[in-house]
Amino acid sequence: MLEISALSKQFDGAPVLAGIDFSVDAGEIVAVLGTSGTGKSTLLRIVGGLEPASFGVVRLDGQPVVGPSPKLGFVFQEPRLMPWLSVRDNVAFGLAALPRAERRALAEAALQRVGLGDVTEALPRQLSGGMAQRVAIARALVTRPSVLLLDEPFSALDAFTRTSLQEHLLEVWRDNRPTMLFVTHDIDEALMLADRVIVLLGRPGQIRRDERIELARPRRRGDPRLARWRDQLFDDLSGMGTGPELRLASAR
Amino acid sequence: MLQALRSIPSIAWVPLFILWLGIFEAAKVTLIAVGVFFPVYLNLMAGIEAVDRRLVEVGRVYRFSAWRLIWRILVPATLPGYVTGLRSGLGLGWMFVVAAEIMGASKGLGFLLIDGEQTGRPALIIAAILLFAVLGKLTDMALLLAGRRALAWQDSFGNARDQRSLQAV
Repeated sequence: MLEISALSKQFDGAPVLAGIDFSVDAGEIVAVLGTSGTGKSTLLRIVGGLEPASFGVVRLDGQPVVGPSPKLGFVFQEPRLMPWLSVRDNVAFGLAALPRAERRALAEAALQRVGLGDVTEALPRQLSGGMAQRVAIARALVTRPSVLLLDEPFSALDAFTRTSLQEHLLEVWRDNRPTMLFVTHDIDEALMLADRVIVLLGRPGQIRRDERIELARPRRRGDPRLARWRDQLFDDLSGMGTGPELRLASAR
Repeated sequence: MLQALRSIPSIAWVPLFILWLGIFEAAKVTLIAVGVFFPVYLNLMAGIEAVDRRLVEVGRVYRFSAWRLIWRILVPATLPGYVTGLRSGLGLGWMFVVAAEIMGASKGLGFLLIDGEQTGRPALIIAAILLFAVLGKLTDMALLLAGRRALAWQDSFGNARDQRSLQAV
C-alpha cells in the first residue's frame, strides 16, 4: 500500500534522514517514534508529498508520490483551521469540486463522526484546543483518504484530552479503516494506537527498530503486557543501547 | 522602484499634475489617488507577507490552484491588513483634499479655508475645520463598521467583548 524505499533527505547539504526503508500495509496503524530532531516530521512530509525526497522514493499503491494526493489525508501538529470560516466550512475546505449542498452534508457527517455535530456554525476561535484538533481530523477524513498521515497530532494537548482524542481517533478509524502513519515522541501514544512502532534515531535519522505490538485494541494504558515494549522503546529513545560510542561517552 | 516613488512627498507631484492634467478636477483627483495609494499598498503587502505559511500549506494538501489559493486563503487572511490600510488611506485622503483645494479651487472645503483667510473671516475657517472633523470621523466609522463585519472572525483583543466560548460543549 505504502512503500518507502531508500529514502534520504538533506537540507542544504545537512543530512536529516538516511536510508529509510519500510512499507505499511492497508489498514495498518504505524507509529514513527523518535525524539526531536530525528527528522520524523520531515519523513511524514515527504510521504505526504509536501516535501521532495533527496534520494529514494515513496510509493502509494505502486505510484511514486510526487505531490499531495487525494488519497492522502494530513493532520498537522496544530489544527491549522481557517479562522474566518465556520467549523463546517473548515471541514468542507478540501471538497472543492462538489456542489455546495453536498459539501455541507459531507462536512456535517464528518463532524458528527468526531462528535462535533452540534458546533457546525462556530468559529475556530471559540473552540478549545482539543475540539479544534477534532475539526482538523474531520477535515482530513471528509475526503475519505485511504491513508491518513498525522504529525504529532495530540502533542499540544493536555494529558486528559490527549487520551480521549486517541480513543476517539481509533473509533473514527474503525469506520472505514484507513491506513494510518503517525509521528509521535510519546511512547504511550505509540503503544496505545499502533500495530507497529518504528523507532527513528540519530542525526541523520535512521530506523533503529521496527517492532510489532501484538496486542488487541482497545488497550489499557496500564496493561502489564505493554511494559516490555515500553521499557525497550524507552531504552531506545534515551540512548541506551544505541551504540558503543555513545555508551563510552556516558561512561566517562 | 515603488519604494523610491513612495519617498517622493505627494505634494511634489502637484506642478506636474497641473501641467499634464490642467487645474481642474482631474489633477486634484490624481493627487489624492497618489497620496492614498501608498498606505493602502504598504499595508496590503505587509498583510500578504504575514499570511501564515502553515495555512497556505493546508491549501497545498488539497492541491489548490494558484487562483484558488489566493481566493480562499490569501485574500481572507490579508483582509485585516487591507482594512488598516484603507483606514489610514482615508485619513490621508482628507488631508490631500485640503492640499488639492488650497492649490486652486473655486468651491469645496479647502477653498473655504483659503477664502476665510483672504477675506478675514475666522468663523468660516473654523466651520470648515469642524466639518472636516465630522466628515473624517463619519467616514472612518463607516469603514470601521464594514471592517468589523468582515473581520468578526478575528481572535483579537478588540473582538474580545463578543467572545462566546464553546469550551464547555
